[in-house]
Amino acid sequence: MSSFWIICWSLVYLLLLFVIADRAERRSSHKRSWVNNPYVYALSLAVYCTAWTFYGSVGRAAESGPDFLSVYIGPTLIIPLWWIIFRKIIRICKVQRITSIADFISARYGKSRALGVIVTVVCLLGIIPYISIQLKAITSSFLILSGNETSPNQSFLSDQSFYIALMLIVFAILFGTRKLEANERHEGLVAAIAFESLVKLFAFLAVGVFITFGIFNGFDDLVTRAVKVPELRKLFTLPENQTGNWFWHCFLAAIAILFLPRQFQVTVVENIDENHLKKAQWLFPLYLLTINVFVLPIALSGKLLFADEAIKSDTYLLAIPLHFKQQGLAFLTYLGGFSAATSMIIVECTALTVMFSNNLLMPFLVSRQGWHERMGSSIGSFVITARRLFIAVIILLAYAYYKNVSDKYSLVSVGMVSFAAVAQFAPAALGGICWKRANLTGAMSGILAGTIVWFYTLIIPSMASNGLISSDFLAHGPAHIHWLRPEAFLGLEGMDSLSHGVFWSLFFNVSFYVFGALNFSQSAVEHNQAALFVDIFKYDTTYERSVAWRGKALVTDITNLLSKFFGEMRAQRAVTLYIKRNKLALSAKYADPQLVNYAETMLSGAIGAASARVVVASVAKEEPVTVDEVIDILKTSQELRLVNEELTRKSRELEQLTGQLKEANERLQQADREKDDFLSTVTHEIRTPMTSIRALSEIVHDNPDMDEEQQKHFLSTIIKESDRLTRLINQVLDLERFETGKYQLTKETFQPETLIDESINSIKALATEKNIIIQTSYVGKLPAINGDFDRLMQVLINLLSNAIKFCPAQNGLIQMYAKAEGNHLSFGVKDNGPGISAEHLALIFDKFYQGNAPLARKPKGSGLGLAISKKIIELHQGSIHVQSTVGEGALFTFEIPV
Amino acid sequence: MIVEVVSLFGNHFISVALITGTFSLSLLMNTNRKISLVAMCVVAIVLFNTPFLSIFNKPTFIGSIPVFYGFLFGAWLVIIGATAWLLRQSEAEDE
Amino acid sequence: MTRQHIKIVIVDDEPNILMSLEFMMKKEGYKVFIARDGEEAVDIVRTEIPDVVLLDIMMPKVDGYEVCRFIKSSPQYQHAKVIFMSSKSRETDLQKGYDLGADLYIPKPFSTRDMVAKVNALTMSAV
Repeated sequence: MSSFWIICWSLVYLLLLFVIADRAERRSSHKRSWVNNPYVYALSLAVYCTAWTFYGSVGRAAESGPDFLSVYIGPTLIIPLWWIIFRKIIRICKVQRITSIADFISARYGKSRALGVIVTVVCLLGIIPYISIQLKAITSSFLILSGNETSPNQSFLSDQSFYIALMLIVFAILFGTRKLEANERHEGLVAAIAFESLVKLFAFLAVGVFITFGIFNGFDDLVTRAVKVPELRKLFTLPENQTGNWFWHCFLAAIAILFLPRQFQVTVVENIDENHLKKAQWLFPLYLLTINVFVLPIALSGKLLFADEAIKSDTYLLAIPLHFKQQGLAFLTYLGGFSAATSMIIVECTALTVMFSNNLLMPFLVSRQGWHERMGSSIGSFVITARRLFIAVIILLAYAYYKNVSDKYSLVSVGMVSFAAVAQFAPAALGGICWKRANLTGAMSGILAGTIVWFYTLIIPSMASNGLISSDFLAHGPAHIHWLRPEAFLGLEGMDSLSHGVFWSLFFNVSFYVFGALNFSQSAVEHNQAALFVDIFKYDTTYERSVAWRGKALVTDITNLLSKFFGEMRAQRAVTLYIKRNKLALSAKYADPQLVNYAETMLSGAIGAASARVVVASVAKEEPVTVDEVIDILKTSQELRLVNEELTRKSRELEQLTGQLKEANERLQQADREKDDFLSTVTHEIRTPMTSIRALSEIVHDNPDMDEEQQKHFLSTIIKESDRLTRLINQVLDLERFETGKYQLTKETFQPETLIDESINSIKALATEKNIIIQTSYVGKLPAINGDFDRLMQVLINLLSNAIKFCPAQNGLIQMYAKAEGNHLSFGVKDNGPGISAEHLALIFDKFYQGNAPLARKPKGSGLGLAISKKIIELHQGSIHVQSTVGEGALFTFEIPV
Repeated sequence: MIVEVVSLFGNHFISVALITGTFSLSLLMNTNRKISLVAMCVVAIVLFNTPFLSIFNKPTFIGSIPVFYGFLFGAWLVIIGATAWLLRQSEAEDE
Repeated sequence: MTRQHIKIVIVDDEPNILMSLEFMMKKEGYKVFIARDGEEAVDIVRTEIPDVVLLDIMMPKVDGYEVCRFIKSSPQYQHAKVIFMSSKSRETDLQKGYDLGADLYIPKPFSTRDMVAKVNALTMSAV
C-alpha cells in the first residue's frame, strides 16, 4: 500500500472522528446527548488501551508470557472499589469545579500553587515518554504497512513521523481546545474516543480471528504446535521467581488507572452522571478482557511463523496479515492501532493542557501586577491560544523523545515507567479523600520524595543503558557506594527493575506523607478543604454557605472579572442568576461572600483553583481567617443543616397532623349530619301516629252522637297508634343503648330449637291471618347457645315479621333453618316476596334506611328493626347478612359463635 | 496427563472453594454495600496473587487450554460478573 | 254555591289520618275524595277539578311538592286552594311550601277542629 493512500485514508478517518465529535457537541447543546449514557461512558474509559495494548501486549506475550495481563487484571482487582473512590472524587470535582488531577491535589491541600506546579511537572515528565511511544507505534505501523523501512538517521524534514506528529497536533487542538469552558467537559471528544474504542476492539478481534481460525486451525492447533517448541512452552506460565513482580505490576496498574491524566479526564471530568459508574465498573473490565483474548494466540503464531526472521514481536499484529497478503485486514489493523494511539494522544494532551494552563500559566500570569488591566477583555482568547501552543509543544517534545530515546525500548517498558510516575499521586489523592489530617507538607514532600526515587531507580537505569550515563554507575552505585545502586537501592535485590522502583518510590512517598501529616499543622484554607473533601456527601449541599471567607468586594468588580474570561453576556447572566436563585439583594453594592465564592468556583473551572483564588483576591479586600473561625463556620453550617432537617421533619409531622384533624373533622360532620337525619326521621315517625291519635280522639270527643260501631273503630285505632308510638320510642331507646354500649346482654344457655319454636309461636297468629306457611328445618345436631334469649328472639321475630309483611297475598311461604357450621350456628329466614333491589341491599341495615330515600315505598314499621337486629347480633360476636334477587324473595341470615 | 489434570483440580477445587466460599458467604450476609464491595476487592486480590496464583502456575493443559491462562481468564470473568451483580443488587439503594 | 258542591281532595299515605279527615270533612258537608299517594291525587285533580286539596308531603312515588306544582302550574286547576299538612315543621320547610304556591301550611300533628275552621274560612272566600 503506498504511503500516499495510507495518509489519505488516515486523514479521512480523522475527519470522520471530527464529524462524530461535532455532531455529538451539537446534540449535547440541544439536550439530546449521545454521551449521556453508561455505555458511551464505559467505552470512553477504554482510552486506557493505547497502542501499547494494541501492539505492545503481543510483543510482551511473545517475550515473557502471561505477565502482559497484569496491566489489565490490576485495574480489575480494585474495580469494585471504584464506586467508593470515584464516586467521591467525581462529587468533589463537580462541587468544586476541579478539572484535572493537578487541580484536585492542589485544591485538597489548601489550593496550593506550588503543589499544583509539582503535580503538573511530574505529569509532564511521566507522560511525554508515554506519548512518544504512541508516535512510535503509529510511525512504525505506517512504515510496515507502506513497506518502506527508513533509516533512522535522516533529517526530520524527510521523516514521516514528523508529519504524523504535525497532523496529530492539528487534531489534538481541534478536539481539545475549542472554547474556554467553566466545566471543561468535551462531549464531542468523548463521543470520538468511544467510537475509536469500538474500532480498536473490532480490529484486534478481526485479526485475532483471522490468525487463530484462518491461518491456524483454532486454539487447539496453535497450542499443540507451540507446545512442541521448548522456547514457547515457557510462555504459558509466569517464571517461577516472577510471581512477586506480578503483584507489583498489578498493583501499579491498579493505582495508575486512577490518576493517569487521561483516565482522570474521562472518568471524572467528563462524567455526566455518577450512576454511569455502576455499568462502567463491569463493562470496562469486560472490554479489557475481550481485547486480550487473542493476544497469546497472535504472539504464539508470530513466533511459529517468523521463527528465523528478525521481525520485532511488537509488530506481529501487522506483520502476520501482510505476510499472508491480507492488505485489507492489515489496513484495518493499522486503523485500530491508529485509533488507540490517537485517542490516547488527544485526551492526554487535553488533560495536560488544562493542567498546564491552570497550574503553570495562569498562576504565573495572575501573580504579575496589573495583569488584567493590560489584558483587557481578550484574556479568554489568550488562554485558548496559550493552550493550543502548549499542545504543539507537548507533541513536539514527545517527538523529540521518540527520536532520541524511546526507539530503543519496547512499548510496554516505557509505558510502565510512566505508570510509576503517576502512581506517586496515589498517597496524596487517596489520603486526601479519607484522612482529614493529611496536610500540604506531607503531600508535597511525599510526592517530591517519591518522584526523586522514581527518577533515580527507573529513569537513571534507562539512561545508563542508553549510554547517557556510564554503566559503571549502574553496576556499582555513585562513587562506588554499593547500597546506592539504582537497581538495588539499599541493597534490595531480586525484584525486577520496575517492581523495585515502584516499591521504593511509593515507600518514601507514603513515609513522608504520613510523617508530614502527623508532625505539621494545617492552614485555615487547608482545614476547610480537608473537611469538604473527606465529608463531601455531608457538605455538598451546604458547600456554598460553608466557605470561610471574609472581606469586601464590589459586585461590579466580580462581574468584570468574570466577563474577562467568559465574555460580558455570560458573566452578567451567571451573576444575576446566582443572586436571584439565592435570594441575595440585587442592588447590593458589595458582593455577598457566597457570590464571591461562586465566582471563584466558576473561575476555577477555567483557570484552576489556585489561580482563581489569586484572581479573586486581586479584586477583593480579604481579611485573614483563622482556623478556629473555619471550624466555627463549618460547625454552624453543619448545625444549620441539622436544624433545617429537624424543621422539615417537624413541618412534615404537622402536615400529617393537619390531615388527620381534617379527617376527624369530616367524620364528625358526617356523624352530625347522620344525627340530624336520624332526629328528623324520628320526629316524623312520632308525629304521624300522634296526628292520627289527636285527630281521632277529637272526633270522638266532639261527636258524642256518632254510631257505636264507628266510635269503637276509632278508639281501637287510637289504641293501635299509641302502641305504635310506644314501640317506636322503645326501639329508639334500645338502639341508643346498643349503640352507646350501655346495654348488657343477660346470657343463658339454651337450645336453638327452643328459640325458633318460641319465635314462631309468637308470630303464628299474624302468619295464619295472611295464609302464610312457615317451614322449619334443622341441619345437623345443633349445639346449645350461650346468649341473650329474649334479644335473639327479638331478632328472629323481626326477621319473621318482615318476611310476613313482604310475602305475597297468595301462597306465601317462609322457610326457616338453623344449621351448625364448625363453631358457628347459622340461622336463615327466607320469604317468597318481591325481593330487594341491589341499591337497597347495602342500606337495609341502616336505621331508617328509607330516610335517605324518602320516595321509596316505606315498609310498615319503624325502620329501626333491622338496625337493632344487627346490633344485637354484633353484641353476640356474630354477623348478619341479606341476599336477594328482585322477584325471587329475600334471604336473611345470621351466624353467631357457639 | 489425565491423572495429572484430575489431581490438579482435586486439590485446587478444595482451596478455591474454601476461599471463595468464605468470602462469598460474607458478601451475601452483608447488606452494607460498601463492605460487600471491599470484600469483593479482597477476594480478587487473594485470587490473583501468590500464594494462590502459584497453584495454577504450572505448565499443564486441560484439553488445549493452558491451565494458567484458563484460570486467569475464568477468575477474571467471575470477578466482573460478581461486581456487576453486587452493583445491581444495590441499584435501588441510595445515599 | 253550597258546600255540597265544594270538592275536597285529601291526600295522605297514612290511612288513619285519611280516615279521620274524611270523616270530619264529610260531616262539614263537603264532597270528599281521598288519595293514598301523589299519583292518585293527580288523577283525581284531573277528573274532579277540586276546590281544596289537603296535601301530605312525604309520600311514595310522587310527593306533595310535585302535586302542588302540578296544580299551581295549570290554569285549569290553579284556583284550587292547597293546604300542606306535614310533620316537616321547620321554618325552611314552611317557606318552601309557600314558595310553591300553597295557601296554607299546617304542621302535624294538628287539631281537627282547627283544620276544619281553616278549610271553612278558605272556602268562604271562594264561595
